[in-house]
Amino acid sequence: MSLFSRRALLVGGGLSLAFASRARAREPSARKALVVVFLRGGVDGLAMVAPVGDPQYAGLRPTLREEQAVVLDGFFALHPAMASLAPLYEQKRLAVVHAVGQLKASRSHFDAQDFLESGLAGQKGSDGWLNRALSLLPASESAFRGVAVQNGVPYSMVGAQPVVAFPSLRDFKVGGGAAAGFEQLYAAAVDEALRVRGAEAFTGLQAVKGLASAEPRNGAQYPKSGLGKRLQDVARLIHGDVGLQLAATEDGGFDTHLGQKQALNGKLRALAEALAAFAVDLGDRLDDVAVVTVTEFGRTARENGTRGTDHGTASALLAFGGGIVGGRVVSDWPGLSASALHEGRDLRVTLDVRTVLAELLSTHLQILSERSLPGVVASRTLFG
Amino acid sequence: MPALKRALGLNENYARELLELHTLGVDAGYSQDDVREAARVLTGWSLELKARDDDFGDFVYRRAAHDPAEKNVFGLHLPAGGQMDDGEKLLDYLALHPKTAHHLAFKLAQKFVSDAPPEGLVDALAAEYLRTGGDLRAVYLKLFGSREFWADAAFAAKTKTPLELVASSVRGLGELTSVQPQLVRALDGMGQPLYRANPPTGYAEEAARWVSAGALVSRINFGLELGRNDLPGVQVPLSSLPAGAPDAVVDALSRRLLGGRLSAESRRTVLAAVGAREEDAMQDGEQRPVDPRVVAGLLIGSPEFQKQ
Repeated sequence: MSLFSRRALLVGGGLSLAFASRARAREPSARKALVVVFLRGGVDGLAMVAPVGDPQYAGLRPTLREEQAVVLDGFFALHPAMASLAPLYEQKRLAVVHAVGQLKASRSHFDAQDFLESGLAGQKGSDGWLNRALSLLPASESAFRGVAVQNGVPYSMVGAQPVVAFPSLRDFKVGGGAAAGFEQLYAAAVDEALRVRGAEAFTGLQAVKGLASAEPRNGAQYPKSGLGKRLQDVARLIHGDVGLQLAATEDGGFDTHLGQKQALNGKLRALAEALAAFAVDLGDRLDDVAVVTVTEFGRTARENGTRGTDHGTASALLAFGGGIVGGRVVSDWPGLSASALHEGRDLRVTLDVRTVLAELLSTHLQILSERSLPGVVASRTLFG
Repeated sequence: MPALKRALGLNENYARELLELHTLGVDAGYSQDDVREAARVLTGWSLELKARDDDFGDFVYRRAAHDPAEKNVFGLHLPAGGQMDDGEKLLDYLALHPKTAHHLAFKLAQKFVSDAPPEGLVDALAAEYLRTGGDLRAVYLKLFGSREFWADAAFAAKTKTPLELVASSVRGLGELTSVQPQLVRALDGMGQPLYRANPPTGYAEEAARWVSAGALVSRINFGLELGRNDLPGVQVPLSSLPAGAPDAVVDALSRRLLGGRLSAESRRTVLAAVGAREEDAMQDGEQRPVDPRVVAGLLIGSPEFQKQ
């Protein structure tokens, strides 16, 4: 106990005692990890988690609404293709947040994705919110503190902190049997950055050797989709104890302007099965790992003339793992009447998505989220 | 119509970019008030949007949208009643501000000398900029004639951006016959998605932004792939590569790719890496000549080749 006040002062500076006691209760742990799954294209939150209890819903979605949806709480129902996530919801691990989105919204995919990844609400900066978060997490020698399992470093992870990106673990290797030669070349490099990053790369290559073929645990069965493979790689890194703290990955194909019913049936099924398999694979490690899905915007409340939906504003997100209190849909539901809709067409944002991300940073990872997401006050949405 | 103006509000974005990125620089000491005042100065500067054209449209000044009250921006006083010339005066003022001179001088020195350029050089370039009223040609002459530019310390001090790495290795080793998606995607893996720089500042100049463990592995694999002639759109025929004894092959490719700038230690390492492979083969009772494609891959992935 004598450590508490000193530690709290060192960590929290001149912050209030109330904060100090929270900081003492749980300080940043190197075992904690956050996985952010970016669903690109703008997910139709009204299809993923349908507000079946809203009197306007059926009229807005005459052909798109699903009859067999999985009832969550009487008002909201999960898309029937996502039934594989029902057990996680019943175990009170999976939480849904609805009518969540960006305050300075844009209906351009690129701007909206960039604004979300910069974490600066309507602005683009020189680095991303996850990279800034990484600078606040406990340092380590690991090259895998921040990993993007996708092609190239996503904007959210761009910044001063070194991160690793690869489309799959299988690709993260030096081909041609020449690795030993390169390792020696970089060990002797005159340039310090090349020498240090080179050492990280080769230590990292060694650390993940063999992980690419590690079998999933607890009988988890991943779908054969791209996201399934990528989440499986994230699980391999976590089980491999390589020092992973933040992981980013993504899936695309949610821009459902036409034929949405068929398209989402496949996309949402693969998404749900991948997330469910990840949870099973992690087993007890899920206590240390939180997963959240984000998307750049939702879609129009009313279906369009091509059995699809157009770019909208608010959507829904899924979150599970860590201490997240699931089994509930959290929403300040704005309603779907013409006057309730944003600009008469979109589900209105009643919760800034950044406040939920900030909550994950502050409550799950125990860091000062303000330095990653400036000006954002963490919500009390996921952790009760 | 002040009521209408209040309803439309003020967009500070370009004013901030003007001060931060194009002139004074983020550390110049201007305040949020300066940003707001600069935004007021630029009210009425607009675009005549073209609905069906590729280009964004032409500049237009909308008199009714201009805020004619007096303004003060970072030491510049603009009396009430100004019109479009408010903005022109601001641009002239900012262009010749000492902070702008320093900001620009730093960027040029960082681009051409090193990521952390000598302060004396930056000061000298800034002084030349101010002395000549912003004559960039004079600034470049000063830069390229400077002791710091020609110093040993500045030789190969800069790390290649991914685009520079790809361009220099394709140029050094093969021939580009067509630009295929694989070549463009290679840049994604190294962290420089072509034409998709996110921040308004464009791609970073400092090596720290380009050199990460993952990006290095991508760079190394790119060299190996190129050496193997595995990149669509780029031709590296084996017949175009040197053949013969290992040291002759390494030296010839080192001259071709690095201008002979391979350190003695790296040369030994490359030879050993190639030699080890030969020994492996000999244990199978099969002799294999040194593979120049592997040597080329090692050299392109070497730390030396990552430098400009």
